[in-house]
Amino acid sequence: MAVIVFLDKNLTPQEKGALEEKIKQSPLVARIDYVTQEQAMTRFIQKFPDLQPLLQDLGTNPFPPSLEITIQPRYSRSHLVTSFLDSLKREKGVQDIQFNLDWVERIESFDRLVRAIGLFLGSLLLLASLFIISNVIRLSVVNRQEEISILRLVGATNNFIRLPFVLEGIILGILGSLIAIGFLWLIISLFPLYVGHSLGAFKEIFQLRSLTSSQVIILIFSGGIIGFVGSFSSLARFLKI
Amino acid sequence: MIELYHIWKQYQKPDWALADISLTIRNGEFCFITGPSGSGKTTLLKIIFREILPTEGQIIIDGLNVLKIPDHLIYRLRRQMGIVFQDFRLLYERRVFDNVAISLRVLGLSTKEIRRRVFNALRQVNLHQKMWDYPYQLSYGEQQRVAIARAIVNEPRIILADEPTGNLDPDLAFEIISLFKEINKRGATVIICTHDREIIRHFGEKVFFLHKGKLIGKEVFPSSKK
Ligand SMILES: Nc1ncnc2c1ncn2[C@@H]1O[C@H](COP(=O)(O)OP(=O)(O)O)[C@@H](O)[C@H]1O
Ligand SMILES: [Mg+2]
Repeated sequence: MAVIVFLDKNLTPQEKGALEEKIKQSPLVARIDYVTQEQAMTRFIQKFPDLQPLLQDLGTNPFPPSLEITIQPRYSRSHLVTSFLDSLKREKGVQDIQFNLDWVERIESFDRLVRAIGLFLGSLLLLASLFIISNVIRLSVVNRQEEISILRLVGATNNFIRLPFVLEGIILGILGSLIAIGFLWLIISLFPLYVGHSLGAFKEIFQLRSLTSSQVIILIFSGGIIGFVGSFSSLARFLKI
Repeated sequence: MIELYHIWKQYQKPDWALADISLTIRNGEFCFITGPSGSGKTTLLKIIFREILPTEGQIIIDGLNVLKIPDHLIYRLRRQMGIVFQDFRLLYERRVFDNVAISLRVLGLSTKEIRRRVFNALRQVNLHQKMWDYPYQLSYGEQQRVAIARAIVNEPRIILADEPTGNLDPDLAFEIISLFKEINKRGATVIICTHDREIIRHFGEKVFFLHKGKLIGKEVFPSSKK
């Protein structure tokens, strides 16, 4: 997203430089371009050639110089932008700021909603996978019930009996999360190809980012944990007597 | 030493499968539990290796209160026992070898040692030629001998056998009981449930008589054949 900061015409080059420097400090800022009065007028004339005589009649250049700030895409949906704009407004030499705060706020609340839905779906899926894995294991436990009871009667320790099932559970869990990561990767790489162009300006908002390596590790790890818990719980009943 | 004190067992009201059984079996004894079918022999044996819990009573094995052993430590008791189940409880999709080896696998022995001991046990029940067969390919008598091999392969201190000769012809039955007697001579305590009078007449040293869940008699024969 872009923010246009209109400057006071009487700003000295030093003051302008200082302001520019200050804005650059913000981590939100990706780029900053200075547009002089002349450049602004040229742009205007290019866009609306019919109005050129009107401007000539005016005699002076009515366009103030401006700074065009590009916000880092990863912050474009952040609430930090709002406070950044507030502080900009209070800067000396800043006449006006043009941006669509409405949008910013709407996107923000949309973002919160998406996050909440994501969290909800995520925990639902987590429970579902726990349920599925423990049922898959329960099935294989029931299939081998006879063997388990014999193992217990010939003096197998619980861990000896658990091991193959727990391994099965962990492998299932890890396999599940690997498949999930694979699908995610596929979606991320295919999504822009299919709908990227139709999104146009929304592209920035609906960015799909692939998981970071630590997220991948956490996902695989929790897959394993789910498998472990699932198999452990479905065995407990069979390790009595 | 195996001590049972006032054991009662009820599967469902109002019948008592066992009623007030108290008995003591010392280490190294060779004894039989006999009685008609339904008299509670299997139930009594299952209580000794704690597959089921008595409704009332106490069991002490070598000073250990069996009913107080937590589930996850019960393997210590079972490793000292070799059990021949009345219904064999073989794994029918596993080969004879694996069925016998299961008693040793749980101990974590090496493959080589397992092979040696399994072969040895199968030879003792005269089934080593069928080591790689599946149980369903065997006759009942042969399956019974697989069950016996599995019970003796880990050289347990206590052998509990539930009708181990029920499906064997008389000659083979005598052979199998002789095998148990031999193991007993090497120091193991052996408890055999049977209703075979011939076997008791021939091998009986100490015999408990059960009838409708009650211990109606105990006989100790002069151990002439010991
Ligand atoms: N699992 C069970 N549920 C209900 N009743 C049982 C069960 N097992 C045995 N019984 C009953 O307990 C009694 C003793 O059975 P059992 O110990 O198998 O006798 P035996 O081995 O001497 O033939 C019988 O009346 C039998 O019907
Ligand atoms: Mg029986």
